[in-house]
Amino acid sequence: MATSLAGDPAFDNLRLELRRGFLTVAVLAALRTEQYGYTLRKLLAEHGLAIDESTLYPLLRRLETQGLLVSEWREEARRNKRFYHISEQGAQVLAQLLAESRSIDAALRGILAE
Amino acid sequence: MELLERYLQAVRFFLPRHQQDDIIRELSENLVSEMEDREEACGRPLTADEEADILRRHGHPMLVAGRYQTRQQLIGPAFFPIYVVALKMGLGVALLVTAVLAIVGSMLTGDPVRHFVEALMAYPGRALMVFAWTTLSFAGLDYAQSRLKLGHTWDPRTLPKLVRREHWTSRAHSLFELLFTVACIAWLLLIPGDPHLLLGPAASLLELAPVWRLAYVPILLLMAAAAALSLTGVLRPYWTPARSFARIGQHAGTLAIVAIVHRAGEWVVARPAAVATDGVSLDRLVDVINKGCEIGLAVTALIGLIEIGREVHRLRSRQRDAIALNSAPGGRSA
Repeated sequence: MATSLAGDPAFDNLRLELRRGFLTVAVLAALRTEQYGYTLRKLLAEHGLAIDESTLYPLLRRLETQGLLVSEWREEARRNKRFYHISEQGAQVLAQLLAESRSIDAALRGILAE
Repeated sequence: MELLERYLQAVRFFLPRHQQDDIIRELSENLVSEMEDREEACGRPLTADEEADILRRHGHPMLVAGRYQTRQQLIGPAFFPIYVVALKMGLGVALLVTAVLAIVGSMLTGDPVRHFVEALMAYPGRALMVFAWTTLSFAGLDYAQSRLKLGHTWDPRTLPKLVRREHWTSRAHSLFELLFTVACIAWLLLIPGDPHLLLGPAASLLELAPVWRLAYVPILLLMAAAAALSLTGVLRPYWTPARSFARIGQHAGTLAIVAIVHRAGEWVVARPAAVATDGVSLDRLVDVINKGCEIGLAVTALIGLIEIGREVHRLRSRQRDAIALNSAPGGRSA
């Protein structure tokens, strides 16, 4: 069995780079259903994609600036919250990113099978 | 919740003014939701330590605020490695210049140690200037590259011709040569105003023969040409036929000047009305120095001839390599 390299700086950097792109895809995918920041973070964590708040919340704003998400302030449980959901452009980008991800996955499987 | 308010206030301080309200409002809601969630799970209000723990995990206010801002960099990753090399070279040159100025300056003053230390103390200021100008230049280059998309317009056919590793020269050697030549030019320029720089204490008894007046400007021009060649070596650190020919020209010029100067027969003469002290015969002193000059001229001529021989050998070796490369299958000219 392979020894876990978690904690090794070189491995952690590579893992961070690998996860960065996938997290954006995961956020877009999760926001096909409307969420606000905290519930989105919980949802991602429940699916095994834990992400720091200080990374997720600025990411949401960047994706909104790029036109991939839309947001609105709405009252829930007597408090105003900012709800995000994927935009039409975001849905198109998500579809293409998922196709790209499948293509990379297939290529990797092919290389590993050799 | 007082701790949360203090935290949000600290984050707000580092945010851009036009985004402060919006970001703080959203951040506050998210943090309150998390705290309420935790309270629900515990079945009791959170303690101050637990609140602090949530905020600590969320991150330092300055770093949290920084993540909301557009990523900015003065010099991008493409230029950074070249920037580091340029900075090291610049700081090295500044150190060499400072050392040369300190040594030359201390030789000209009555208090050499004090002058040397003072001149060395100028290095931090000089280094700071090098750092500032190098950084600004590379920031400008990076900006221009991002605007003009220089990376898309370059043509591989404009790359320098293939050069064999043995034809590369040491950049450090060329740089040292350049600095030494520049220091020599400065010294030569100072000599007419202060003959002590050449003759030392004997300047009160002796003076240079008239032939040096004739040779002075050609020597300066030759030194300037040598400095230009050394600069070429710093910028393009490999031998080219043109550079070899230029070197041969430079050494041929040296030989011509040596020949003219040698024909004069005397290079130092006694000053009119000069009287030697300590029982030293002035004529004898002039003879000894002239003999030394003659030997010096002969050595200079010999070095010139050796250097011309080296350049000719280099040229021939390049020609042989070029022929070998061209005759090899798929060969390229060097």
